[in-house]
Amino acid sequence: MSEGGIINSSTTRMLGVPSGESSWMHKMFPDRYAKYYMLVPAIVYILLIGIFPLLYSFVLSFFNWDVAAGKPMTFAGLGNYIELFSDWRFRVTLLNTVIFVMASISLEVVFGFSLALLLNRKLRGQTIFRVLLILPMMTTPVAAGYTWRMLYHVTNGPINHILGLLHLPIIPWLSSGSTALMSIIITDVWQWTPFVFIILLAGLQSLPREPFEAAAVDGATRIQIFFYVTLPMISSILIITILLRMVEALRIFDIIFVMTAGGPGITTESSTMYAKIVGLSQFRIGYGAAIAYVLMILSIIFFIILTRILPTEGEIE
Amino acid sequence: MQISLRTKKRLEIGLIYLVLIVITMVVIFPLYWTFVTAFKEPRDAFTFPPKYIPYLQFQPTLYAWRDVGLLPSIGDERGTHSSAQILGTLWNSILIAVGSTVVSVILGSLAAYALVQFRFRRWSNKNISFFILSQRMLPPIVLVIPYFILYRSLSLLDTVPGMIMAHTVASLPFVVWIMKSFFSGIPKELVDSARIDGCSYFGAFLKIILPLSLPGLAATSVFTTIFSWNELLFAITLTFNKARTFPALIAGLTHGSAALWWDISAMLLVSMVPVFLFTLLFQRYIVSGLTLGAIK
Repeated sequence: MSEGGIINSSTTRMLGVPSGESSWMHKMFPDRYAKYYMLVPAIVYILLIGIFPLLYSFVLSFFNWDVAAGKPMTFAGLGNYIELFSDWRFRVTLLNTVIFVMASISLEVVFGFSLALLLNRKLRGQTIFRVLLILPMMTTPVAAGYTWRMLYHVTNGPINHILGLLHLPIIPWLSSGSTALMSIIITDVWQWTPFVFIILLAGLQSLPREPFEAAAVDGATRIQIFFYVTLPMISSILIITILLRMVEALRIFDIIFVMTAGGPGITTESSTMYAKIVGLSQFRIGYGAAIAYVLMILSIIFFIILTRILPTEGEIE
Repeated sequence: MQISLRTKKRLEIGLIYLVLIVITMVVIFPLYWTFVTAFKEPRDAFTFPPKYIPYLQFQPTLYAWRDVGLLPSIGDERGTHSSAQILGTLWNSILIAVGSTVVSVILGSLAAYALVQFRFRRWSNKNISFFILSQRMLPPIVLVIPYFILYRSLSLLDTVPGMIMAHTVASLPFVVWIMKSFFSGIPKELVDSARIDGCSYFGAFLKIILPLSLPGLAATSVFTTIFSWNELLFAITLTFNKARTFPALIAGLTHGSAALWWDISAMLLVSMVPVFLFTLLFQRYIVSGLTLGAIK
C-alpha cells in the first residue's frame, strides 16, 4: 500500500505506535465495515434527532392544533399557509427580519472590511488590537443584549449622557418604535463586525504579494489597487463570510429577546420570535410550525448559494 | 525630499494608531460598562450623571456578588437571589455544554474520519458532507416546536439529557466539517503503514489520527462548548426550572424597568469571562472555526 512512501512502518514505530493489535479489536471492529460503523452513528443521530422532528413539524404545519383551547387536532390542508399570506403580524416580523439582516450585514461588511484593511500591515501591538477588537464576538448574546440595554437607558444610560454633553439631541433608543430596530441593529453590528473583520484579515494576510507590488510598480493609486487587485482576490472569502452571517442573522432571536422582547408593540419582533410566540406561548402548534417552515425555506435559498461556493477540500475525488 | 517622505510616513502611522485606539475604546466601552456596573452599589448604579471611573467617582464593592449569592452575604444583607439557584443553573449549563461536546466530538470525528479516509459510492462523500452541513443551516425554530411536543411525550422536557440532545444536533455538523479539514491535513501514508503493522482502521484512528489532531480536536471542543454555553432559544423553550441554563436564567430575570443592573452585570461577567479565556487560548483556530474549516 505504501511501498516507496516516505513514511513507513518504522516511522509509526518511532511515533510510539505499538505494532500489531490484539485480535479482539479486529473482531470487534472489522475493517470490512470500518467505513460504515464510523459514519453511520452520526447519520443515524441526525436522522433521528434532526430529520425526524423536521418532518414531524412539516406534518404538523398542515394541521390545526390549538392546545390551549383544548380542541382536538384537525386536518387543515394548506390552511395555515394560506392564513400566513393575510397575517399582517407575520408580514411585519418578516419585514423586521429582512431589514435587520440587510442593514446589519452591510454595516458589518463595511466596518469589518475597513478594519481588516487598516490592520493588514506591519504594526507594533497588532495582536493586542486584534484580540481586543474580537472580544464582542465572544460575548454571550444574552450579555451583549443586556449590556446594550444598560447603555441605551433613556435617562440614566451613558450613551444619552454623552450625547447630552456634546449638546446633541437625546435619542429614545429602545423605548420608541421608530428607533428600537435601529438600536438592535447597532448591537448586532457591534457584536458581529469582529467576525467579518477577523476572517477578512486572515484572508488579506494569505494573499500573495506579487500582484500588489506589480500594481504599485505600474503606478496604480491605492484606490485602484483596492478595486482592481484586493477586491477580486478576496471576493470568494467575502462571499462566504456574508453568507455565514446571513444564515445566523436570519434566525435572530437572543439579543432581541433580551433587549426588547419584540417591543415596543411588535416593532422589533423577528419571525423566529413570532413563530415561538404562536407555537409555544399561544400553543397554536400547527400555525407556529408553518411560520417556522416559511422561515426555513428562506434559509434554504441562502444555503443553496452557500454550498455552491464553499470549497470541498479534503475529499477523495 | 527624502525627509519629507519619512515624516509623511510617520504621520500616517501615527494617524493609524490614533484611529485604532479610538475604535478599540468605542468597541471595548460596552464591556467596560458591564464590568464596572458589576462592582457598583445600588446607589452608584443608574444615577444621573452616570459614574464611569471606579475609586474616583464611586467606591467599587462586591455588593452585587453577595446579592446574587456568589459570595457569602455580610451582616443584615439578604441576597436577592439564592445561591442555590445560580449555582444550579451554572451546573446545568456546564453539564449540557460538556455533554453535548462529548457526544458531538465522538460521533462527529468518527464520521469526519470516515469521510476523509473512505470513498462512499452510492451517495458520494460530497453529498453526505452537504447533508450533514445542511443541518447547521436550518433555523433552529423549525426544530424547537416539534422538540417541545416530542419531549413532552417522552418526558425529556426540562431535563439535562434533553438539552444535550438538542445542542448536539447543532454541534455535530460543525464538528464533522472542522475535523474533516484537520484530518485531511494528515498524510495518508501514516494510516497505511500502521495497517501494515497490523492496526485496524479503528485502531489507526485511535492511535495515530486522534493524537496527531489533538490541538484541532481541543479547539473544536472549545467551540462546541461555547456554542452550548451561549445558546438561548432551545434553553428558554425546553427548560423551565430543573434543567434551566445560566443564560436562560439571566434572560428571564427582567422584562420591566426595575432591573437590578448591578446583579445582572455580575451574572453577565460570570457568563462572559470563561468564554473570553477559552478564546484567548485558542486564538489560532478562531478563523477556521468560524468558517467551518473553509479558510484556515
